[in-house]
Amino acid sequence: MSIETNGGLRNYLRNFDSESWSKSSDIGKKFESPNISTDFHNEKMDIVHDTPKTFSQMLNESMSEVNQLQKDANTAIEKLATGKNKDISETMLMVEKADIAFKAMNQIRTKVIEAYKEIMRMQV
Amino acid sequence: MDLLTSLKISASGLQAQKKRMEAINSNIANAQVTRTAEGGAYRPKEVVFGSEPARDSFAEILEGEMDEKAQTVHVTEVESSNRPPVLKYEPNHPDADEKGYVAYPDINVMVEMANMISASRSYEANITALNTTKQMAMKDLEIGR
Amino acid sequence: MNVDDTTLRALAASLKFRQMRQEVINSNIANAETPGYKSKSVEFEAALARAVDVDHDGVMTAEDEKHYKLHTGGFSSLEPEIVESSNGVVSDDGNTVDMENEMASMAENKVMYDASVQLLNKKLALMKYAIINEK
Repeated sequence: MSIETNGGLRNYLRNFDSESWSKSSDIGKKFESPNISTDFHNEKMDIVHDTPKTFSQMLNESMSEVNQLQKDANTAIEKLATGKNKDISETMLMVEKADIAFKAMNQIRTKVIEAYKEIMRMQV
Repeated sequence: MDLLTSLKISASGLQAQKKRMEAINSNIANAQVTRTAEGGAYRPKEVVFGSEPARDSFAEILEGEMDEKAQTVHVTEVESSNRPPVLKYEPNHPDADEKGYVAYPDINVMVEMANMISASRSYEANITALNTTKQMAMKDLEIGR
Repeated sequence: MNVDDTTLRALAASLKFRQMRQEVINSNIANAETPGYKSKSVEFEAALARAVDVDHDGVMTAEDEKHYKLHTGGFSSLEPEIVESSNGVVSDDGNTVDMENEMASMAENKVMYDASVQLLNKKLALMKYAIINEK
């Protein structure tokens, strides 16, 4: 369903389901096929109201993703060391990805702690 | 398994190939010699290789199962070949015997050249092995850097 | 991320075994013309794969000391096999060294050795980074 067609935008908004959109991790797919049709005036259009994920949930999920990347990198290294997989470039890439993810997570953690301290410093 | 043993093995290979080159050079240089100090034509030299375990002392041999498996090479003998000399009919040669035959050493220079190339290649291969071993040891120093 | 986890130990073990392999290759090359010398090779990949349990075949315990344990990181009992390589090349004097094969094995061994060292460095560097940035 393309937005450029006549009345397409309204159709799109009519069929937009904010709940399943926020749940889905693959946002590109969602734009192509929104599933449940709701009335334009329905309260379900209130996106802010219906975001199911809390900030802590998002953080937890990201951390388990980083952890999974680390585990995958470990497995790739073991496969290389035991000769099951002879592709060095693939292993290097996976290790590098895990590295970058970890370092990014570390930075986020630093920023979050900074933000927390900033808030605690605020005078009430 | 340690650096020194690996290097010793390659070094022994280099030495053995050097001895082989000496023998080949001697053969090529003396291919036409009919008169030697021992009498008779020059006897071609041949090297025979043998291998032995890479540890020196008995105490070291007791350590580890690896020791007997990696072998150094050494030249067991540089022998004068028993190949009979080639007789050629040259009655006017100073070294001709009663019947006019001169004894020349049984050396085929082409064969010696082929041997020389082979020895040279083996030498290079041993050098590569030695360099690779050294590089692996240098790489060890980079762990954790 | 464990300081002593299976991956690090597998990498360290593979370094040791590749050194052994290099030594045996040196021996083969040096003895390439020795009569009666049989070409040898070091086989460690299978034993290492078992110790690491790369395929996650499950956690099996072993009761007898001599049986192989899976995925318990039994690296201390890991011994490589030194076998006579059956490359089918026999020359007149009984020598079975295939020089091209040895050179190829040596090149591969060196590359994998370097890769292992680099991976080890990466893992150690990540651990150090985590420690240093712990504010």
